[in-house]
Amino acid sequence: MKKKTNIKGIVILIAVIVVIIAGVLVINHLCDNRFLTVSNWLLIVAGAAVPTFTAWGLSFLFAASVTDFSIGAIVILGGTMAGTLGNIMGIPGVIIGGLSVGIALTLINFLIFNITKIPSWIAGMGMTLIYECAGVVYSNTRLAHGKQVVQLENQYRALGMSPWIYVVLVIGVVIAYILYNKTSIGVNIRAVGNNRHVAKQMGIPIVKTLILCGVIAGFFFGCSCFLNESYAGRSIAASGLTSISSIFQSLAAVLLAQVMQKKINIVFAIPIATILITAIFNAQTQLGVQSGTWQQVVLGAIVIIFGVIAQRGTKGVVK
Amino acid sequence: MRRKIQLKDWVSVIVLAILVAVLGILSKGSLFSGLNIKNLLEQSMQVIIGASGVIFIIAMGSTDLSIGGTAAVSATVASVVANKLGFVWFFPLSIGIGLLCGWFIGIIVTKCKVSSFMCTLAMLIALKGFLNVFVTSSVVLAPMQITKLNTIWFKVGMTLVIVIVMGYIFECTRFGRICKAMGENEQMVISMGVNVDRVRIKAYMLSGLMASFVGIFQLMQQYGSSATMGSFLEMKVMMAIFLGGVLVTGGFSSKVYKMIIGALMISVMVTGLYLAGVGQDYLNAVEGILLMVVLFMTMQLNKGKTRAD
Amino acid sequence: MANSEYILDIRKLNKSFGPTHANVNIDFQLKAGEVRGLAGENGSGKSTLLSQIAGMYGYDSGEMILKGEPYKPSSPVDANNHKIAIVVQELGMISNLPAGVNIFLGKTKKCTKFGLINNGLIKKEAAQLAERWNMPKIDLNIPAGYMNIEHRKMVELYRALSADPDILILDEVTQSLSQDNRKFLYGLIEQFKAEGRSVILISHDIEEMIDITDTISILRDGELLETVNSSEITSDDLKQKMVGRKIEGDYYRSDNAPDYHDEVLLKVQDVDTEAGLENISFELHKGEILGFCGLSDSGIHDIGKLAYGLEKLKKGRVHLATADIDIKNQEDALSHRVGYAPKDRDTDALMMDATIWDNFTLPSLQEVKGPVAKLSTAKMNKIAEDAVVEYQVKCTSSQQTMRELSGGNKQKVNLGRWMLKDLDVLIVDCPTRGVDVGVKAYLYGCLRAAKANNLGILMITDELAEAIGMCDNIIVMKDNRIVKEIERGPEFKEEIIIEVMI
Repeated sequence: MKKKTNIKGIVILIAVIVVIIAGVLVINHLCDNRFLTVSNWLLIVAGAAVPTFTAWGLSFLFAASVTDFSIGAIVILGGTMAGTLGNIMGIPGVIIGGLSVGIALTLINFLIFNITKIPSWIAGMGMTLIYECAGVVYSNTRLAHGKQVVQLENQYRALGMSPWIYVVLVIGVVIAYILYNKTSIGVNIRAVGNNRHVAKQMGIPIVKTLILCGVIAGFFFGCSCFLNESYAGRSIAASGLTSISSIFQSLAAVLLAQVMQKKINIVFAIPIATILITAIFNAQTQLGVQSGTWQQVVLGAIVIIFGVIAQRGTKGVVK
Repeated sequence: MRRKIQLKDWVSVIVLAILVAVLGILSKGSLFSGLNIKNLLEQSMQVIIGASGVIFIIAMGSTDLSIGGTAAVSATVASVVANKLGFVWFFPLSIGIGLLCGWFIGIIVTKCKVSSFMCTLAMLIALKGFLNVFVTSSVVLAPMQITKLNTIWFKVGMTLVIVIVMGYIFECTRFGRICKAMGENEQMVISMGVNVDRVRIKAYMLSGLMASFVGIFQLMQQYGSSATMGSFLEMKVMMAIFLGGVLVTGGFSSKVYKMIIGALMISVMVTGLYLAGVGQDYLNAVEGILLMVVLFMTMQLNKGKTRAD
Repeated sequence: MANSEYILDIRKLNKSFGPTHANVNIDFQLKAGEVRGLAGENGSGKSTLLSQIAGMYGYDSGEMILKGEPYKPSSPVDANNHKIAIVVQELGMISNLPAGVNIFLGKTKKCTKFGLINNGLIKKEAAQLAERWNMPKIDLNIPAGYMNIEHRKMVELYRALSADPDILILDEVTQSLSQDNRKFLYGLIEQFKAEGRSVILISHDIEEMIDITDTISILRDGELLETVNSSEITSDDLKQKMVGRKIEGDYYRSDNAPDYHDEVLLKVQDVDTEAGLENISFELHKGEILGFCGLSDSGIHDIGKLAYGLEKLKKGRVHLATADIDIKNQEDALSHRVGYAPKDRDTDALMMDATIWDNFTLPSLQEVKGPVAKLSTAKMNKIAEDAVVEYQVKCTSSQQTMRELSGGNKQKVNLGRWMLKDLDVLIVDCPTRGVDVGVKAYLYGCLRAAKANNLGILMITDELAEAIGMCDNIIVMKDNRIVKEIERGPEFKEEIIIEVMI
């Protein structure tokens, strides 16, 4: 019985690989062999760095069964701070600026979820509006003084460039793996998210665990902040909840990683997923698809499709 | 003997009265000028139409964030086709697209067990992208026949009819009560003998239908569609429902009158704050803070009634 | 004051859940090195007693003295610190974490090196436990959710042993273990005894309990009746003592023969379900009370869902003769005069935050429809107000919130919302679970009146006395199959039913 399913699994795996390879070759052919080049893939990996860190943070949130999409707005604010401090203090300023804002704001969110008991997804929307507003007010004030939003000077953008961006990515993998799998707080977070009641019976302090979860997730979002600022040079303010769409790549990646979780540890599955998704967008751009139109449609579709796959076999009431 | 009137049922009315008074004073009375009242009404009417569909979803404890996208896409696609092939296509298409979007979400949420928050949010993003396909490359104008309808009386009449019909379904029929009961305890409704999947799909289709009406409404007001069409609608609608005092978990606390008061509240607030000199920049933040404060208050007033997420 | 002879001395312990008095003035003394069994029917208060010792519930009044010191554990962790550990009846594991982590969760500091959880240390600690207690090795890397029940039980046992307990509590552990693992468990118990440590256990297998324990305490209706030496009692005597309650006069029916019409209402034929029921066939007649008995995992609770169209069938049919249709889903059942009152009242049957009014009217909405699908408020008011009076619901008004009612009154609403309708078939699952004796008698009265009114009642119950007192026929189930059908008469005895159901 067991062997049979194994064979079936292998067949499916091979089929999937064949389909992917075929698809990649077709795409490569369609865009004049510009897709399958080493330089393009290095670009893809670099582009996947920010979504990867965001996705690690999200995976900690989901592990504690918290849904908070104000992250997009936090990353914009954190990027701005990283840019400001970076121009004063250099690269240490970039890192400090990003991390401090990421951790502080995520922690505030968790405190609000814990104190008010408002379901996190909707309180998160409220916080998104507030953080977006802060960003907009900042950029409008700059505009009133005849300036644009802060632009991180090129000499301080090394973290967002080759080779440092790859180094940061590798360090991130190590930290995420250790935190998620190897620390008491990591397993405690997963225990609380999986079954709060049993976790309590097992002697895990619930509130403390959730607050620490906010700090850890905030750390990863903070990394996204300074990486994004270094990678893109500046953070454009968003309003009207549009910042939420900026974390959709990461969300899709986490959902895909959850599908792969049975075979690969989720910490490793996330970069694979983000690279895959970034590659899809890269291919679309190469094929001349405008961003903001069909690319956005594809993004929404990917989230729904991966959501469906990740929820396979779920029973019971889902709201 | 029907329900006794309790303080918590009146909180929203009192807050609305205070809002009107305070903002009326802050805006030095300009809130009550004819033009502003008309603006206020037009704003609230859109929210009320949208909310009269979404309230079915909120009542069962789910959510629908896609309506802004549905409204924009249904109206835009219908306009494009109607301009090419004739006006007869307009209504069937816009209504059809609304229903189709709702049906699709319903299927994904019920059969595939994806949480409605995630599914409808993704749907919103996708629909916005689809909208941009039409509006970035060319200007989409509303069909003549639609813009002719742009009179305050027609809009008020349309809103009234919709609210009465949807309010009737929500408050007076079995379908409405079942939706609310699902918010109270869905497992109970299942074991009582109701196919909740079908109810949920129908509710999402109603929500999609209402979204397409909002699309038509905006189309006639703006004489055409744009990239900002329908934006923020989902947020306004949700806030209207919650501001009126409906619990996030839905259930029997959901009432149409609360939704209408909530919709008025949010319009008064936006218009009043603007007139009082609060910049557009701060408005969203004020809305966000208010959303959380009101939710917190509603939960406190119904202590013990809310389940943690 | 403390008697050094006892490691644990419990005096006059009381515990109530709402109106249900689960433990009444329990006196319980345990010696070091003693293996004690607890015997009693479902709902007799065994698990409640153990949960209090293990710190899962606090107690209302009384005192516990552990090794001469007052003992009032605030949590299972606190109990662990006092060297008391429990393996609970329901599974208590984090399903997405590896087994090894589950063993040490909450005390992971034990297995960290430089602040990081070290799989080697977990392995070492677990291996030490295995060696110390002669336990079989288990795979520590699989997430608990992927393990079968038996392996998960073993992980939980490891978890309990990691607290180095002086008192180990086992709440129905053996029933999910295979013969091999049971032997390990017996060995473990022997070793506990030899080291002067104590064990308290509950087991449905009476013979096993007599074999492996030194003494057995018998509980009935929340009271501890007596404690006997295992070597001096036979299983028949023990069963007698467990169930031998006085059956009060008009509590149950007094006739001794089945009494119902020949007309079949509901017919289930050769059904297999996806949930695991196999080869189920039975008929329910007009005016019959048909009982289903068995252990809680025997599939009896799925029978109710099956008959109400809530289960997916693999084969066979559920035929509703009164309407001449096959019940394919719950809507068929609801719209054809069938009702179903589920076992888990708070989660499956009632809207706890809605009013009594809402709860009473909801199943009857189809019947109060007027023109243009309008629900008649007047009719709904009448239904709710009449029902509150008819079923003697103790409340301030029909607008009171469900959650504020006592268990018994909640149950009156749960059953009443169906019985007020004009039904042919009513399915009740554990109709008197968690209600006090007075309400019990009242509900039995209601069910008997409904039977006299030609209602066919399918009664699923884990209380044998109730089945024997109420039913015309009893079907006994074991391992998802029907094992015996008994007609009301001389064979209607608890011993006979227990014989086949265990």
